[in-house]
Order: sequence, then C-alpha cells, then structure tokens
Amino acid sequence: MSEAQLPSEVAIRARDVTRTFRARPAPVTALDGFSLDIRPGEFVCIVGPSGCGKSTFMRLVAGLLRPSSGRIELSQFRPERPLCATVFQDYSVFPWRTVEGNVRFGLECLGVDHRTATERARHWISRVGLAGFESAYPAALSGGMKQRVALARALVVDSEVLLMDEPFAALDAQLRMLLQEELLRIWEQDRRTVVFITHSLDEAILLGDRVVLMTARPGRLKADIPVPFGRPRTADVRGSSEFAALEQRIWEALREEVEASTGRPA
Amino acid sequence: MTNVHPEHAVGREPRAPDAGGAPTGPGTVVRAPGPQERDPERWLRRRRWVDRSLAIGVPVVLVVAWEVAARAEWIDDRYYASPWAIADRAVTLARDGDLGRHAWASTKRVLLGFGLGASVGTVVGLVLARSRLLRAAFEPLLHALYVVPKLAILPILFLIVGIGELSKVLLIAIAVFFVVAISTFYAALLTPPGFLEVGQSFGASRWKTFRSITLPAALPQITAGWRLASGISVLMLVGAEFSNTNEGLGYLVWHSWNLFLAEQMYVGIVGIALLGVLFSGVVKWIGGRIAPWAPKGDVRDEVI
Repeated sequence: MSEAQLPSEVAIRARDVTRTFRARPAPVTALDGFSLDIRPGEFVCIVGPSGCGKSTFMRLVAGLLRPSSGRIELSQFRPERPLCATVFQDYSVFPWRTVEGNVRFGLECLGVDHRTATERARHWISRVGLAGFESAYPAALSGGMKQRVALARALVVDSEVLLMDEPFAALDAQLRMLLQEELLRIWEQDRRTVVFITHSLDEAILLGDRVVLMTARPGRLKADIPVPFGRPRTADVRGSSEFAALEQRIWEALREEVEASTGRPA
Repeated sequence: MTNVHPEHAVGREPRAPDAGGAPTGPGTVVRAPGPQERDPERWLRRRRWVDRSLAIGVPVVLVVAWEVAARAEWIDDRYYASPWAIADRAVTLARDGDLGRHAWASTKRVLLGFGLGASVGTVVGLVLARSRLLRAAFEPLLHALYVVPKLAILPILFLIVGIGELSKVLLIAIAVFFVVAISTFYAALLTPPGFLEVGQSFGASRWKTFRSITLPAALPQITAGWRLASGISVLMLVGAEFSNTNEGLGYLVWHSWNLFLAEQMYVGIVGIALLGVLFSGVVKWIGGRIAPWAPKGDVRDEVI
C-alpha cells in the first residue's frame, strides 16, 4: 500500500485514529480521534493510565491491528529494511527456541541466509549482554535475560521503527535501570525511530525526546511534552532538579486521568 | 493495560502485506481501516455465511457428483448405490420403524458406553496425576493396556459378561476410558507451576487446590480428550455390533452386506456417520459449557 509520500520530516503520522473493540456488554473504544506526528530518529515515550489505548496505538502502528477509522502512515526510507520491529511486554520469547533461535527468528522470516543470520544473532546477543547463553532455552533464563532476548530479537532485524510495549515493566527496579541505560547506549549508535510505551514517568523522561500523555479511556492526546535534556544522555540526568520538576509536572497532568480511569473523584 | 493477544485481536484476518514489516518498496506505508473495521458486524456475518456455506456446500456437491456418477453409470450401482436410492431406502426403513429401532439401539450403547468410560477415565486420570504413589503403581499398566486393540478383547468380554448389551457397552466404555484417562492424566499433570504457587501462598488445602486450580487448568484439555473419545466410541460401536446382536446401525450394515442389499448397507453407514457427527457435536457443546474460558479457535469477541 504505497501512496503519496509523507513529508520527509515525518516518520509516523497518525490522524484521527479511532479503534473500537467488540466486547461484552458493549463495544469499547480504546482510542478515540488520536493524532500524533513522530519525526525520523525520534524517541517518543507514550504514557497514560491503564487501559488508555497505549498498546492499541502501538499495535496499530505495528500493523497487528487496523484502525476502526482514521489512518496511520509510516514513511519507509529504506525499503530493503523491515519497517517495524516490536518488543512485547512478556510471554513473547518462544520457549521452544534457544536464545539464538529466538534472536534468529526475524532474520529467518526475512530470508537472511543461515550463516549471516547466525553472525548477526550472535552479535546482538552479546550486545545485550547474553554472550555465552546462545544455546540456553528461555526456561533456564531469568526474567531480565528473557527480556534481553526479546530486545535482541527486535534489534537484530535493523528495522526503521522500533516499537516497545512496556518492555521493562515486568523487571525489577535495578535490572530495569540497567536495561534502560543499555537501551540508551544502543539507541545512541543508530538513532532509529522508537515508540516506547511505559507506565513509568521516570523511564519516559530518561529515554524520550518527547513524552506523549494520553487521557483515560477512550484514549486521546492529553499533552505532548518535549524533554529538554540533550543527547547523548546518561542516567545522571535523573539527579538534576529539572528532571524532578518535569516528572512532577507530568504526574500532575497524569494524575487526574489516572483518577478518572479508576473511577475516583479527581 | 490493553494486552490483547494477537489471535484474539484480529482472528485470522488477511493481514495487510506490510503488517510484518516486510519491505514493500519506498514510500509511505498506510495503516487504514479495512472492510472488517469499517463494518465489523457485516464482516462477521459475511464470514459466518461463507463458513456455513462451505460446510454445507462441499458435502452437497460431493453427493450430487456421486448421484450424477451413478446415473451416468460411471460407477457400478450394485456396489455404490446412488444417493437417491439410498435416501429412498432410508425412508422405507424409517416408515417400517426399523431405522429408528437400529438408531436408538446404537445411540443407547454409545451414550452408556461413553458416559461410563469418560466418567471413570476422567476420575482415574485426575487421581493418578495427583497421587505420586498411584502414579508409580499404575502409569505403566495404563500405557500397556492402552495399546491392546480393544476389539481383540471382545471375546473375553463375551466370556465374562455374556453376549448381551453389557458386553457392547463395556467395549465402548473401555476404549473411551483409556483415551480419556491418559489425556486427563497429562492435562492434570501439567498444571502451570505458577498457578499452583498462588494456591500454596494462600494456604489452599489439597482439595481446594485440586478443585480451584488443577481441575479448571486441565479442563480444556480434558474436554478435548472427551471429544476425541466421542469419535472412538462410535468406531467401537460398529465393531461391537458386527456380531452377536440383531439391532443397531452396525448390525444393519453387516446384515445388509450379507444379504447383498447395497442401498440398505449405505443407509447404515450414513446413519453411523450422522450419529458420530451429532454425538461429537454434543460432546463439544458440553465441553464448551463447562470450560467456557478455553480457546475456541474461531472468531470471538475481542477483549481489551
């Protein structure tokens, strides 16, 4: 479905995207008239209360779902590369494949020859710190290691857009910080477009160029907040007073939405 | 969070070619509503209609082809009676009350045999899964007996319980028992440990753990075992009815064959096939009622 080209300064453009799910007793509108532009190479973090349609948006971008109305356009700058790769929150690492088998999976789907696939898979396995575990099965790995496998599996295909749906949500706080820093380092090297969904404001500010805030269901755009910290960025920015002030500001905006989504008076 | 499993979310809809992120050419990739999203109700109705038409249409086409082949004398209708002649014969048999008598005799045997075998098999499977000692004692035996062809023990059953109804019901029950016991056993053995730990952490008693965790976790697979066994019960029925009885659809087939009544034989065969389809449909329906959370493998409501 190639159509009129998006302007080159836009990687992803969502316009009036609505998605309704059939459900009992009544259909649920997860996303309602959501619009957003994302520039190439931009790291955008989306936050919002539970059930606000963050994941739905990501799945729409990934092409796992189609919108009920509206449209999402993605620029494909290098057609030889896959467009999107996705890191899911959990349960997405195949238990029946070894670490290397899991990481190779996307390459196999792309028809990369066996030797190259092995080489690239091993490269990324060591980049995410799993060297030596190539032939281990996921059952033998800790949660953090499994999530690294999922990360490597998405990174190895070298997609133009990386979609991450709460990739670190299931991890403990220390591991989470470690992986955030690793992700920053990895991203810094090729600066691909990232859509990163998270519940953690700290994580969103640390990683993102922009924090997009969504309303309680049905999800709409609530605020679009630029993150003022430069690149390359390290976890040290957490110590600055601006970081805390920004986190506070976003939390205040988010708070009423969270309260709305839990049915508590704002 | 809106964690929707892909298969729940979009069923097996035809994906846009770009969905997997495969290279499509330079330019812009669009995610826009398709027919399914623009009018989900209509899409679903259409899809159900297509599925149903295929389910009914394909057998009808085959039967018509058969009829045509018989009329054109491409096939010898002494062996392959035409569908029309079979239907005609079925109507006559039904009027005489013979068909009903045979069908009822078979249905009764299947129901009793399956009911007995499935209930005992389910209980035995569950007990073996929950008790290490019983498992150690009986698991090898279960597997050894499972592979003995059940029809081969029919003569022994005749010796033990006589050649009456009981031998036929028991034969079906035994065949059903092994399939159900083994599938139940493995289903109950493989309760995900995470669920069991939840029970442990709340101090659930052995009985509570069984009733609220092990059993429901295994039920979808147990009911799948029942469905498998429902087909086997009809297979065994026919074997059992080939000898030492004077009623039942299997008897009708065997008896007609001996008298060289091809049409009547086919009436029996079609009757058995229908009994099998109906019975497995009923067992599937029951399974769906008692394990409503089990994946069904067809379109269902998208959950959010």
